[in-house]
Amino acid sequence: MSVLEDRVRAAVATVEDPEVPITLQDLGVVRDVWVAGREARVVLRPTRLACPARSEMARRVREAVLSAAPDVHVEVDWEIATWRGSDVSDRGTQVLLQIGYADPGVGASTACPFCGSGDVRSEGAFGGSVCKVPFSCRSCGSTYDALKGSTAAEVAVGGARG
Amino acid sequence: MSRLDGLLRVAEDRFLHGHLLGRWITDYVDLEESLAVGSISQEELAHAATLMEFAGLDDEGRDAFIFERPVEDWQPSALLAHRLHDWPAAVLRGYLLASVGEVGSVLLSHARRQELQSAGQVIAAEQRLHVTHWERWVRMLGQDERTADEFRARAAEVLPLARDVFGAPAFDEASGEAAHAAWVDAVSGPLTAVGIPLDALGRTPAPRGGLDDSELAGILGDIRSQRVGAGDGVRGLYR
Repeated sequence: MSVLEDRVRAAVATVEDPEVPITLQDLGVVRDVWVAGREARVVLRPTRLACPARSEMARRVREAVLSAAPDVHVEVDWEIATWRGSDVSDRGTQVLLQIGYADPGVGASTACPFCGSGDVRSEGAFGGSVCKVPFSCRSCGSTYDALKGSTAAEVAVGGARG
Repeated sequence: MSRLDGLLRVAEDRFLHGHLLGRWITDYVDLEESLAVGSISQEELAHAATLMEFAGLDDEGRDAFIFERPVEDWQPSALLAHRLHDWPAAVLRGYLLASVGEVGSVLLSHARRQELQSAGQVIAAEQRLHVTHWERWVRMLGQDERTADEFRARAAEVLPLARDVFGAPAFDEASGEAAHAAWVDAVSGPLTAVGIPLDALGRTPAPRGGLDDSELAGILGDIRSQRVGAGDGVRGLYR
C-alpha cells in the first residue's frame, strides 16, 4: 500500500455520517478504498436504498479524498448489496450505544441503551428515517432507535427480513 | 423489447406508486402511519431509481425518463394509472404492489449479472417490510365488522386493475406467467382470509395498455408540476 493510499484511507476514515455522529467507516458504509496513480475509488454501501443522505455522504467522501490527495481523480461508487447491523465495527457499536441506539449487532438484544433493561416495547416498523425503527423503554421511559438490518429491528417488524 | 426495457416498465410502476402514496403522508391523521407511508413512498422512489440505473440511465436520463417523456410512451399497470381516492383502496394497492415487488425482485436475484442479483436481493428484502406493513392493514380493515364490507367492495374495484402487473415484458412470457402465479399464491392467504376472492387477478397476466380512459395524463401532470412549480402559491414556499 502506498503512502498516498494510506493518507487517503486515513482521510476517508474520518468522514462522519450526516445524521448520526459516527464515521461511515465504523458504520460499515465504506467498503473499499483504492488508489492507483492519480485515480482514487471509494466504494460505499447504503444502509437502505432510499437513504436521503447518500449524495451528502458521497460529497463528504470526495472532499476527504481531495484533502489528502488534491491531484487525484475521485470516483465514489455505490454498491447495491445488503447492509447489516453486523457491518458496524466494535467501536461503532460503542458509539451507537452511547448516543442512544440499540446494539446494532446481529443476534444482539433489543435492550434499552440508556438503562440496559430488556423490558422494552417496539413502536412500529418505521421511524423518523428509513433506516430506523423506534422503541421505548418501560423501565426508564426513554425512547430510542434500532437500525434496520439489526436483530433488534427484525424483532420490531415481526419477522420481516427487511 | 429488451430485458432492460422491462426494468424500465417496473420502474414506472414503482415511481408512480411512490408518488401516489405520498399524498397520504399528510392526509393520514396518525403520526406513526405517516412515518410508515413516508418511508414506503421514499423506498418506492429509490427502487425505481435503482432499476433505472441498471437499465443504463444516468441522473439526467432518469430525469428525462420521468419528466420529459410523452404520456403515450408510458406503459404502467392500470393499478397505477388511477388515483384511488380512499384509504382502503390505497391499502389494497400497497399490498398488491409490495407483493409484486417482492416476487419480481426475487426473480431479479436469479439474473445473470451479479450486481443485478444483489440489487434484486436488497429490493426484495425492503419490499418484504412493505408487505408486512400492508398485510396488517388488510387484516384490520378486512376483519373489523365496521370496515369489512367497504373493504371488500373496494377490492372488487381494485383487484381487476392489477391483472397486468406482470404483463410488462420484463421477462419472457413463461417467466411472466410464473411470476404472476407466484404473486397470486403469495397474496391468496391474507386476501381470502378476509373474504376477498382472487378471480379478478386472473390466472395469467393481462397485457399492458388500454389506458386511454385512465387518469395517467393527470397524474403525470401533477408529477411534472412539482418540478416546474404550480401556480397555487403553496409549492413555491418550499423552493
